[in-house]
Amino acid sequence: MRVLCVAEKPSIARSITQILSGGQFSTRNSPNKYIKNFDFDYPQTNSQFTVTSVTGHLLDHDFESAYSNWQSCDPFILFDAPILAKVKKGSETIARNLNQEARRVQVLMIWTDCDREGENIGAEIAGICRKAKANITVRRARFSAIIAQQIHNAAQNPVQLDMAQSNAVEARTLLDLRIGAAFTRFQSLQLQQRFDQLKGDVISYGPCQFPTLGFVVSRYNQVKAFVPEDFWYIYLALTRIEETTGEEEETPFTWRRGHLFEFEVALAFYEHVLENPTARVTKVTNKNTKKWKPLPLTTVDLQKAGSRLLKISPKTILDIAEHLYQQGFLSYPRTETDQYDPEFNFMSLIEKQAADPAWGQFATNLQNGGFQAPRRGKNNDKAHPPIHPTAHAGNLAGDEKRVYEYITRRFLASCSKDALGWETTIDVDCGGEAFYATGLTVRERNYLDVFPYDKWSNKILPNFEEDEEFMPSVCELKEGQTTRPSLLTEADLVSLMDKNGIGTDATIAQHIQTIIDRKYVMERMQGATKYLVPSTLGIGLVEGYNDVGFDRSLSRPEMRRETERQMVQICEGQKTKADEPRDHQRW
Amino acid sequence: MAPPPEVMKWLKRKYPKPAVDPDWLDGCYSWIESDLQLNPATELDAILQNVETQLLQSNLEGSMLPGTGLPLNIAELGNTKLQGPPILVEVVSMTDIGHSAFSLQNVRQVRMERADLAGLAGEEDENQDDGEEAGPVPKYPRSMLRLQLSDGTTVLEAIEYRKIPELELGVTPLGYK
Repeated sequence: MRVLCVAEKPSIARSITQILSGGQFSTRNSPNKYIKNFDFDYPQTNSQFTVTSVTGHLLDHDFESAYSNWQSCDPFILFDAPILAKVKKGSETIARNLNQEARRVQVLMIWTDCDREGENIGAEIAGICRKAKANITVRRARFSAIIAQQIHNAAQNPVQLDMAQSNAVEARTLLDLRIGAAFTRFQSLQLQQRFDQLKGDVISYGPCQFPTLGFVVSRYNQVKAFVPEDFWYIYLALTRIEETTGEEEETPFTWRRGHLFEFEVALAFYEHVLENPTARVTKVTNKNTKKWKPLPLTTVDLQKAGSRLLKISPKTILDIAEHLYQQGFLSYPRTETDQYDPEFNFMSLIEKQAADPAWGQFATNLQNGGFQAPRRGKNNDKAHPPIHPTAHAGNLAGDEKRVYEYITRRFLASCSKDALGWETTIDVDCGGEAFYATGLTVRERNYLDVFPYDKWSNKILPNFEEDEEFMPSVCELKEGQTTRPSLLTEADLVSLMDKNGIGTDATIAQHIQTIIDRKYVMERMQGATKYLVPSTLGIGLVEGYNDVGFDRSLSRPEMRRETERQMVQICEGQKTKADEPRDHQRW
Repeated sequence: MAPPPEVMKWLKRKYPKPAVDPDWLDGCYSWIESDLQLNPATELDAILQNVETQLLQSNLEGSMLPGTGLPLNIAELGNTKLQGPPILVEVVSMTDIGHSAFSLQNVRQVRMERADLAGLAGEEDENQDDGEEAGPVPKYPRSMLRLQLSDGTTVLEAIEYRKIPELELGVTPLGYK
């Protein structure tokens, strides 16, 4: 039996070939200079394999040429105009290669990335191959990491292409095209009429960009409008001579009421306390406490951590993770899953890390009894496991090294134990008001030893006995002010988009990059942190749309969230492609 | 028409301070008698229940006699505990002074938006999920409630010295007694 395997990128085709052929294969050129065809025997299924690839999507969607002149039609006609799907410019040679190879085989096996976009690309490939050989059998290989065991398993147990997922992507593509084109034209034409400076500029609209921009503008407005508020609190402290060192030590106590924003009320409490200023210890509690080890890693978490801890932007970190995945070092980096399958083989992965100079010892300890199954989060996209290292990478450099290191340390930490501590709380009554102080002793560091990104340190508290009485050294009414909130960092924006259902784990970073590229938002450094500031154009657009007075402004996240939700429903077979544009028009 | 003595006695026992305005009570009782057609001889309990409901929903400024509740010189009394029977008061204003106005305002904004969405979702087709995918409506943060209480004549500034869980910002309506 002859099988044609098509991967999403040439590098993946190469990796798959290497694994399945055991290194024994022959190479042929294709009409496209970047793509090669690899031939070999695969005795495990009694077949002859040819492995090739595409370079992402093959087809482009666009309106018929009659609609391409901006002035020629009312932008809103675009909602009903017919859309053509044609092979992209530059991809004709790739399509030709598929055509030629498909004629010679009985089975087409799709090896694109296992996510919705990959399923859609798979459908494009199947379409082109069927034109060459109408009765070709189409199968799909499912895998989450480019390692031998998974690739062989995928080759020997192919499944069907999931048309529901492919249709969901198609529906969204068509919708985005219609809305994007219609609104971009409408918006640009209107603005160009009013503002000469914009003549010739395209002010683009995208249904994901706008809510993203909306978040940045919202926060900016909040920061601008902020007025600091005064508050007051009672500060209690006791200075004692520390027995062992002979030094003075001040123990501060926190008022249980926190702080109050009305001066007269705070003053009334303070005066009341001064009438009876002796403090008495009412309770001393000791209890076990712990610091939870990290959850299994999702794409959004990786981007947030990368942005905050490694100072790498969300888009860059995803690109790096993808590159590491293609080299076989990481599992598929686009995932929402934060729980592992109960049958997952942790030990073999931990074993691979035992050779590393930095964390090898920790990995070995895990093998010798330190292992504890990772925590289970609440999310499972049922497509891929949490991001984890699949092989030891000894020769990386620069950002790639730091990203791999973070992911590996996090993986090992998640397979370890929570850190344990001993917490003491002292409750004190002074003049009828309650105060408290806490101390912490870290007893077992556990996961903290391999995960330096979390901090937990000892806080010493001197000895106090129940019913002990003392005169506080300090009892003052202190004043403070609320601080201005900060502008959004990229990590904050990733969080907000994720929480509000804007974009998927795969596209969030892209949308952020787009609003920066389109100059709706600028990056501004403050110290070592990068913040996002809307440009005048960005603010103008959001306020303009808000003023239009739609019940749900286009810059608010609700509409996009609704679209994404309906996409999921299409995937799960609850809705058809045709329903969605209709539903959307109601908006 | 004047209410029967049982009603007056019951009111005086249950709500002694401030004193109920007889004019208001007359009006209330007439309405109960004519609209609800209750017989004082046989349905006294129902009548009392209705009087109580009306009283608790009323604005004390209209239903009570001035000066019969909180002592008129209350502003001068410092550090004293009031003697005598408990005084009925209503909440005329409520906020929280343990949290900044900024944080309270943000919560209020989200609550208003959720209310808008819930209203709109109700108008659209029924196949749509209800707003639950966005999460529960956020509550105001709770630290120390700051209230203004009134007996119908005098307004008293108050704070929550120890937490009164039955009161909740955004839930407890003004006029709550």
